[in-house]
Amino acid sequence: MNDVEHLIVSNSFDFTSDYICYELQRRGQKYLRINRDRFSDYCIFIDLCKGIMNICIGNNEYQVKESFLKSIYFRAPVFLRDSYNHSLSLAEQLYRSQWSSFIRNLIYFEDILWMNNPVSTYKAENKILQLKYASQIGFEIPQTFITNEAKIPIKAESNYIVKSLDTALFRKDETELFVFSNIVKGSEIRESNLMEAPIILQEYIYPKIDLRVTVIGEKVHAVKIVKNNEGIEGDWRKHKDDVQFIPYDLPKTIINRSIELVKKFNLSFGAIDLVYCKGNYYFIEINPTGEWAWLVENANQRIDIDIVDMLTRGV
Amino acid sequence: MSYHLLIKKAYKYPLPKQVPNMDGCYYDHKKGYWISKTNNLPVILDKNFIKPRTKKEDRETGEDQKGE
Repeated sequence: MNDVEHLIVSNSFDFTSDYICYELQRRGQKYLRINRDRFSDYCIFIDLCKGIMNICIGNNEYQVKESFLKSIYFRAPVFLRDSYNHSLSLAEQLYRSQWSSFIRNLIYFEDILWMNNPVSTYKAENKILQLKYASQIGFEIPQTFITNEAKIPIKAESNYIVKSLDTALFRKDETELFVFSNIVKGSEIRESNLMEAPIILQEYIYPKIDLRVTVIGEKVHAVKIVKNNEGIEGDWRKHKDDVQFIPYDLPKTIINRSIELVKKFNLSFGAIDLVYCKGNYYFIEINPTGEWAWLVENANQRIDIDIVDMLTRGV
Repeated sequence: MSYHLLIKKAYKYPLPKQVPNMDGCYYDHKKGYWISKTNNLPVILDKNFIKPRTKKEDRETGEDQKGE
């Protein structure tokens, strides 16, 4: 029986988790990665009287108990939206709904380091609250409206940022649709159909440089995202194959605010998007489950090392 | 009635394949990562392996695969 000190909840094709497991293994840590797409390969038994969870994978048996467990690295969706979906078989609907509940119930393990606890992630995923907290902490934020009303007092000739209130991913036949941040003229917004769903409408900050700030506890990494050493108009992800990620020195006040925001949401990890414009740093959003492996590759920021440092320290 | 502004502005692309092609690799349950059959090293250390290059990789599901 292998006692587990660090539990990684992931998906077998989540290569970001490979970085964490490789580093844990390199340090000789006692860890177990369970993958949400492989639950059918596992035998799991929880004895609530004893407070232990046994997991059998092939010939290997693992035991998770609160007194020994130090951390959980949670790489799974908090919002799973399509378990009730006519294109899924009954077995798939059952698998998705019940295993999703199972991994959420891992919050049973309370006195450990979570990165991140799904309860905290659930709260932190709300963009309106993010902007409120960021502003309270001292970040500049763009002027922001949330509305489904097109006839609002905006300037017809000005540009605005239009984006979704939550991740907006849709499917139509053999096509997927994803909503980036879009630059839209006020006149077009005022003539648009918004009634079916609210949007986020923000002041367009330009010229700007996008910054990605990754916070792991008290550690902070930042990069600027540029194309030919210049800021990118609109959503940089539309140009993702042509951009460079360059390590960036943030002022101490912005570092401290970033750390404070992550703490305010009771997170141990957060990926913050900022923009820099004319001497000011504007908060755009924080992603409690933000990706980071691309920064190890592209900017040599060893976020994997910092994450494992924190997981192995525990609470 | 025209499409909602978010739908109108949405980026459209062909439905991506659901599972990456992992020929030449195997997943080691005990280690918790993929290994190349060629050199027995983690695929994340392989310069030729297509690793996460951007924050969205190649699929725009939201960063925690919310849309999966």
